[in-house]
Amino acid sequence: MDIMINTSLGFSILAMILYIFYYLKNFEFLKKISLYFLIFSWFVTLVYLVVFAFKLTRIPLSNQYESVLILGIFMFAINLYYYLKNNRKIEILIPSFFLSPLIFSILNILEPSFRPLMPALRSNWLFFHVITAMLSYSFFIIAGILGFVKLFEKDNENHYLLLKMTKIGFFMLTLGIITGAIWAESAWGRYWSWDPKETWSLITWFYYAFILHMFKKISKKNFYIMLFIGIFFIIFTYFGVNYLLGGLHSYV
Amino acid sequence: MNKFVILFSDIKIFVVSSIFIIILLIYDTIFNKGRSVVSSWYFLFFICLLFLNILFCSIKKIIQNQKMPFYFYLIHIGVLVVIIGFVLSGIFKIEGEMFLKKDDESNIIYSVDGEMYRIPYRIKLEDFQIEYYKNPFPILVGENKEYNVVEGKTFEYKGVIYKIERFLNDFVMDEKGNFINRTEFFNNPAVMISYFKDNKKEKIWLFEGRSAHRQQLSDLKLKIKDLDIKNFTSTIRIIYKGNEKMAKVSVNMPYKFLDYKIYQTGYDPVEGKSSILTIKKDNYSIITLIGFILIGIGVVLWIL
Repeated sequence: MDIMINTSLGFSILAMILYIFYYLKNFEFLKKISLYFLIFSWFVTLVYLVVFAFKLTRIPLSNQYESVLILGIFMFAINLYYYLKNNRKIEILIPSFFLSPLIFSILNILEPSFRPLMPALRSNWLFFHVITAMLSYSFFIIAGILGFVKLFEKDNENHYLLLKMTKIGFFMLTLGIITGAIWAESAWGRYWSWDPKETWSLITWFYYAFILHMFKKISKKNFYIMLFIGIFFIIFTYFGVNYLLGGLHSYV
Repeated sequence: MNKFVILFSDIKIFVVSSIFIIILLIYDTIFNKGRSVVSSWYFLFFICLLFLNILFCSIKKIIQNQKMPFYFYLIHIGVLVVIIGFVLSGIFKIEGEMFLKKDDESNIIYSVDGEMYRIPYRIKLEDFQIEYYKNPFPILVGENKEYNVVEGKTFEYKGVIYKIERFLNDFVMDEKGNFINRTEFFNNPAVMISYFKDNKKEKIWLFEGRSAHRQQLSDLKLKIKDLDIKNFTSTIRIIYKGNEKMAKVSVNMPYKFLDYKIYQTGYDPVEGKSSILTIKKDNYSIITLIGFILIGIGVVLWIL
């Protein structure tokens, strides 16, 4: 199992290095090779996910390792979709080139657990709640990194592409919060407990609601900066809360 | 147009209230060590401000005859309904915990603040069961070796013959000095093993997760395998006006009787068969749910 993640890590690092070389030297052939390496690394990860799910006899969604795996696959799939939809501009894949080695490194550090679901997680809501949350994080992170990239570009096209990603991310986050609240009501008897994860999800929701309301009133540059700052809200909600604040969600 | 509507529908109100709500929540989760700010007057003030802003913004759109998409109203009214639901639940909800040992019965619950409430019926804990994914069993783990703990079994480890004399899953010493099981749960597993040293029979107790008594004699460790809990369930008897009703409550599977919902929220294995039930009466939670549904439908229409 480890060899698959290590293979993905190796190929994603190679893909990133080749992309950097392509960017600096403009060697056209490096562009294709880096893309193939990147796709291969995620293909291996997808196979790993299937094997892992078979070993677990369930969809891996119940702890940090499993959610990082799902998050990575979602991020790449979303990024690849927008790459294919936008005239195959390789720049759109920058988030994947730079995040993939990071995600595979995290998967290397975290230990997979083959333990079955704890009682509180044995609910149909788990699937909808985690999937929508991970999709929202994926859209926001990709939009944030592309926003950061746009800050250094002269032409500011794809402005609306990032808005669309933000909208879908917000849509998913809203559904993630709602499904989580309804699940919490059936498990603990209350929709909201002001648990740190819930509170930070709400903070993130407010932040992106703020961006969407201010979109027409702020400059493109400020929009990109706000999207980039949004990544920190996502990272804190996803990782920071678990390691620094604990609470009911400390296992994910 | 009414000045009040113009004032409260201003986008600046939204900006200010959103920023302050975000700052207060960040402060609350990271820096605040005292009472949560979410129950403070200033947090409620900004929530009210946001509420009025969303309300009057929607009213303004209607007054000005601005054709807004249907989802706009669904999402914004949904947020208002959720806030109303939360406020009403916060004021009128009765919620508390009931701790019951097997055969105990009670009609008293205690809220988080320590307030006591009486519910209109009594609940008796008939039984409490922990369901495991597999059958947990004890093993002795040495260097690259595992031995199932079966009373009377002998095995050789590092040239020494050991015999498993006794196993207790919840080791305690009673008043007479006898070693007994306090509960049926694996709270304090211990195994007694015997071996010969200098032609003299020695006996030691090995405890799970603790350094063994006379550790220098053995590096064997006691572990419990397959201890993953699948579910825990309380079998309760509800006694109401002379009538009795049996019910089961487990995690994620609450039971409703009259206006009260009974949730299986915890247990205390140290106390043996004992259950922690959360009991709630909240006639306004439906409002919050309606708000969530409105927002949910709204965001789906919005994204389409």
